[in-house]
Amino acid sequence: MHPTLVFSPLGIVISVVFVTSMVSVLWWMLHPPPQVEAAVAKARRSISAFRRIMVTTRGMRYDDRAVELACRLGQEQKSEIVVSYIIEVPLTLPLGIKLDQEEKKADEAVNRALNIIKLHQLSAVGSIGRDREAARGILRASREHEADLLILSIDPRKTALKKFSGKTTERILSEASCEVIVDHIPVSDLLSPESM
Amino acid sequence: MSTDTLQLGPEPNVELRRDVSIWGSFMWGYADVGADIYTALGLVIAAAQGMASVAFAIAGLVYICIGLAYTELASAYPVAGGGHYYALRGLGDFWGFVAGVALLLDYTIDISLFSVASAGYFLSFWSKIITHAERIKHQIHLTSSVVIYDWVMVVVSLALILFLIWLNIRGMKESSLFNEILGALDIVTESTLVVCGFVFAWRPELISSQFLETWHHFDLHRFAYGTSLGIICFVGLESISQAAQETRRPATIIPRTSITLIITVFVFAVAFSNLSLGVSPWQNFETHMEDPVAYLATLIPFIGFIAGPFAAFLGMTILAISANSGIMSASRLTFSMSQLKLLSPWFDKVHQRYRTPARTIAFFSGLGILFVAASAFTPQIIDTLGNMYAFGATLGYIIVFASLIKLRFVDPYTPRPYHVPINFSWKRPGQVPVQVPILGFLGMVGVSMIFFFVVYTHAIGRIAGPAWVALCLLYYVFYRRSLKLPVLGSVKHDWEKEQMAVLTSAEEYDLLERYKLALLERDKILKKKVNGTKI
Repeated sequence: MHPTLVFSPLGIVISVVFVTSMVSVLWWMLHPPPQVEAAVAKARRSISAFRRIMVTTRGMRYDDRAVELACRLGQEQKSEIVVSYIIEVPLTLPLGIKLDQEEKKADEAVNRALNIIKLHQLSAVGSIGRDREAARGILRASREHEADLLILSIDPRKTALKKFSGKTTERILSEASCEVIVDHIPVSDLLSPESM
Repeated sequence: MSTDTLQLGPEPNVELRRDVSIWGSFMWGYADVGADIYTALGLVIAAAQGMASVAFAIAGLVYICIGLAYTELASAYPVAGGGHYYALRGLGDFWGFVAGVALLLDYTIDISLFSVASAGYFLSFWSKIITHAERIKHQIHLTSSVVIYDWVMVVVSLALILFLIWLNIRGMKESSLFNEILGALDIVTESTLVVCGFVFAWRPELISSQFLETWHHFDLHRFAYGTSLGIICFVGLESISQAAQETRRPATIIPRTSITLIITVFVFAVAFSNLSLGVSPWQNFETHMEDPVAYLATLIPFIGFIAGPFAAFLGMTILAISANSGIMSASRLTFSMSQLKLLSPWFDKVHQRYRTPARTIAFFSGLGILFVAASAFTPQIIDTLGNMYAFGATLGYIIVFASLIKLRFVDPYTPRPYHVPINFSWKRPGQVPVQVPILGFLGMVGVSMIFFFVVYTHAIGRIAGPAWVALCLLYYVFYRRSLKLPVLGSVKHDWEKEQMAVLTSAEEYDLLERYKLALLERDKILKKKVNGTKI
């Protein structure tokens, strides 16, 4: 039996699809991602360990920026972001006293932070607490929420005027049971027209 | 089931070396699965007639489910052993053993069947090129009723198995190279046949008329039979997972090679069946069941005059590498089983010079030789061997699907570089959520149906297959009792430590870190639970 020569447009199309699919799949197979070194993998995955990130706020612009930073850090592993606002109550007042203005300010600050987190489609928890000392309140909140990372933003104006005692930050850095990032932006950034 | 503690571990400083490259890993699988089309094409077309393409497509869908399950498991647990190891981790030692012996049967038959088939193609090629005469079968009458039906083919088969034993004992690099070169040649040639066939010889009106004719006279039994034969065409994909412990960067490489293999084999099977029915009436393939690919090649203009002998040569090579793949898989599977106390440590020995499991290679290839010798006394050697081929594979695949599902529940912490798609997330209170694999359930149902069909329709398979499993179980009971280990229970393993060791040895550091993190998360949840209970 002699072969019969037949041209079919559909046959030609099938051939082209066949060759393209075979070449594509073989090319994909032969180009795997590069190998990751042990140290690189460890460093990379240590960030993925942040399943719950806590960020403190006082409702300032640099606090909002710290919330955004927390969201970016937690984006890949879909971390839960905890926003903590600690109302400092002076020793001269009872801890449970009604502080309408301060509470309103706290609500606004936390809600704004939650809105930022919502934009990143991450789960968010708002926390407003009271303590005699901000540092102690933040540390307690971080333990209660089992935070893997704590982000602290500090007021750049205070550091610029050298009024920053660093007491709160220092205590948190020395006593925190989780990793801490201190976010300090240059005061020029805070005062620039773009940031207003 | 009871659980005993036992210190396990390979001999110090002796382990399988990681020599298999990305192309080598792909070729181990392709060598096994790619050869099946040479025998199954004619059988499926003869059974399913004008709807052979549909039969291949349906069989291919079940095969895709099997392939995806193996892809997930082999990349998550990159160790030698394949299906038996997954069963052992998911379902326990007993089922690990059953899966192991089912697949061992498949691999041993693989060695015999494809060596014989390769010898057949070799003799066909020889008669076409050297003697220019029709090949005749040389019989030897030992007594009036005991006859060796084709002693030349048997001798060539045995010579091929001995050659492959030598090649495998020398080490993976050598035998990988053998696979890689011949496999590449086969892919190029098969692609050439498909492209030239569709461009120069394919007639869509012929395939559609044959489809409609078969549709109008539809015979469900024939079609179902054809579909089951189509499944047989895809057996052997697990070879990639068998070579996992010797593959470089397995968790990265195996998902790629495995998915490429699934696509490649599926595309070839569907392309060849469509091409065949668009070039010639199905009845012609019924008369060319021994060499359907060679027959198809002769029908293609321009290349047809050399295609006959070349297809015979090609069949010989691809079937030889398939037999080689069977030796590799059988030896590595027994090596793994002996390390896990399912088989005697006699199998555990690694050759000091070549660092290959030489005893297991020799033992199971020897069994392959026995199967060839025994089937030489039957009129159709290939038919006899082929009868048992699917039994072991389908039984093993059912257990693998069960293991896939169970492991999703009991070990959600091991990072899976690849997930079988279509899952629903089951959030369990106080536990890590489980991705329940819907495709895993569907695949298990599909393979179970094929298994039932194999047992129902294959006369030798339904006796020899269960007999093999029963004999092996007897050995298992004896062996485990001699070690004072539970027969139905499992030996206790520190899987977490072993998994970390495997990922470290595979240099999959990213996965290692992910695994550690997942375990930390689990420990946190457990700690919370304990604290909650205390309160």
